[in-house]
Formats: sequence, structure tokens, C-alpha cells
Amino acid sequence: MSKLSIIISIIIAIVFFIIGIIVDNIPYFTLSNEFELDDLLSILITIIIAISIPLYLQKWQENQRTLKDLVIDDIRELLKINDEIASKISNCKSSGIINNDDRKIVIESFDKIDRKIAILQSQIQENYPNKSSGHLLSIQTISREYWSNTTGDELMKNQTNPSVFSQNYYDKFRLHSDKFEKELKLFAHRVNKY
Amino acid sequence: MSDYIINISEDFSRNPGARYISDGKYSGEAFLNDILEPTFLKAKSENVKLRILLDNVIGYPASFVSGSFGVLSLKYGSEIVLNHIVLESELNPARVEKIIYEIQNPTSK
Repeated sequence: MSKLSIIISIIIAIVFFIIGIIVDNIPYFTLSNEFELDDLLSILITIIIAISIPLYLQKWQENQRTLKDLVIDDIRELLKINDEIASKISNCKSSGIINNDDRKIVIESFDKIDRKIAILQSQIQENYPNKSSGHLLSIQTISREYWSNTTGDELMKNQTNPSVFSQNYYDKFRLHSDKFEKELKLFAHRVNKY
Repeated sequence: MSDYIINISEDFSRNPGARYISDGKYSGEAFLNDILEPTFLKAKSENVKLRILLDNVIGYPASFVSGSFGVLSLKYGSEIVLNHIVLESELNPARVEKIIYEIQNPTSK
């Protein structure tokens, strides 16, 4: 039993004790010195309730935290993949070279994003069916626009020769990447509030 | 009449490339000309489905999708294309959604 449960149990016991004293001091009520069997049963039930309610609440809180952590872990992984794409594109920009291996890494990373979003979606639907559908839809739309912009002609053209992309492509890439990151972080905050 | 099937990883490549043939290997244009459009026309004339299996590929660049499925949609119309094509991916259903989005909203280059 955790410290919190012990403290809550003690508080509940004290409250009942005080109520007992108050009731005893009200002249309209009298206390018998004899114990009936159902009185004893009533006391036992009260104690069991006093102990089990905090335990139940604590267990419920722990389960909620675990579910949120699972969702937030998936969001963290998405952020990590986004960082990897940004790092790859940034390195290509600074080196002035994009080769087929770089392209494959970027394309594969977007595929990973899709699969991770699908996992996130199934978790949300299972655990929070009445929440988040709008936020997830927004993440999916932003992700599709991000993929469309990043793996378009600028990245893929002149495959037989190393080539580098324009500043315009890079600026648009940063815009989409930042938008995706922002939306994921906002979603993590929202999940935390569930 | 039975349905036609294109397994992209086996019938074309595991590494789909750029939009145009001039941009390198395994382009959307090459896929469209050599495989997608001829098979689509057969399926259309026989009024059967064309099943396209999207798995076992590293991923699909937007330029490839636009250069193949997008161009097919521009030529024949999204409704006719979607009436005859069935896209399948067990590993990543988002691939299906992205291609359908491109067919419904093709961009001409």
C-alpha cells in the first residue's frame, strides 16, 4: 500500500471518528453499550470501503498514466523520425549532394511515419474513442502534405547523378517539418490532459 | 473473367523512383507506360478489377505516385480509375490512402 493510500485511509478513519464524537454529543442521539452483530458488520464494511476506494483510485490513475505514456512514446518516436529526416535533408543541403541512398532513407522514413501514425490511431480509438479524431486527422493531413512536398520531383530528379535541391525546396521542407513537429507536440499536450 | 493483378515489388521494382523516365530508373512514367496503363485498359475493357499489391517496397515517393496513378487519373478520370483499381497493402494502409488521394486530386506537371 502506498503512502498516499495510508494517508487517505487515516483521514477517512479520523473523519468517521469525529462524526462519531459529534453524533455522541448531540442530545437527540444515545449510544448503547451493547454491540449488535449488524453494527459490527457495518463497521467492517466502512473500513473495507475506506481502504478499497483509495486503492481503486490509485490503480485507475496508474492505468490512465500507462495508457498516456504508451501514446506519448509513439509521439516521441514520430518526432525522432522527423528529426532523422530533417538531419538527412540538412546534411544533403550542406554537402551539396543527394544520392540514391539518401533518397531511400527519406522515403523509408516517411513510410515509417505512416505505420507509426496507424499504430497511434488504433491506440487512440481503443482507449479514447470519443476524443482526438480531429487532432489525428490533422496530423494525417499534415503528414501527407509533408510527404508530398518532400518526396516530390525536387528530391527524386536526376537519380543517375548526385544533385542538390534549391533553397525554395529547403525552405518549404523546413516549413512542413516544423508544422508536423508542432502538431505532434500539441497532440502530446492534449493527450496529457485526457 | 478473373481480375488482373500487379505486384509492384515483383513486376516492377522494390525501389520506385522519380516521375519521368529521364530522371532515372523505375520512374512513375515507366511504370505507367509499361505496366499500369496497359493492364488497366485490359481490366477496363473486360470490366474486371485490377488489383495492385503495394507491399514489399521500401516506400513510394510522391513524384512516382503522381507520375503514374496521377497521370492515369488525368487521362481516364478518377471515377473510372477507382472503379477498376483495387489497391492493397497489409503493411501500410496509408499507402492506399495516399494513392487514392492522388487519383482523386491529380496534379498535372
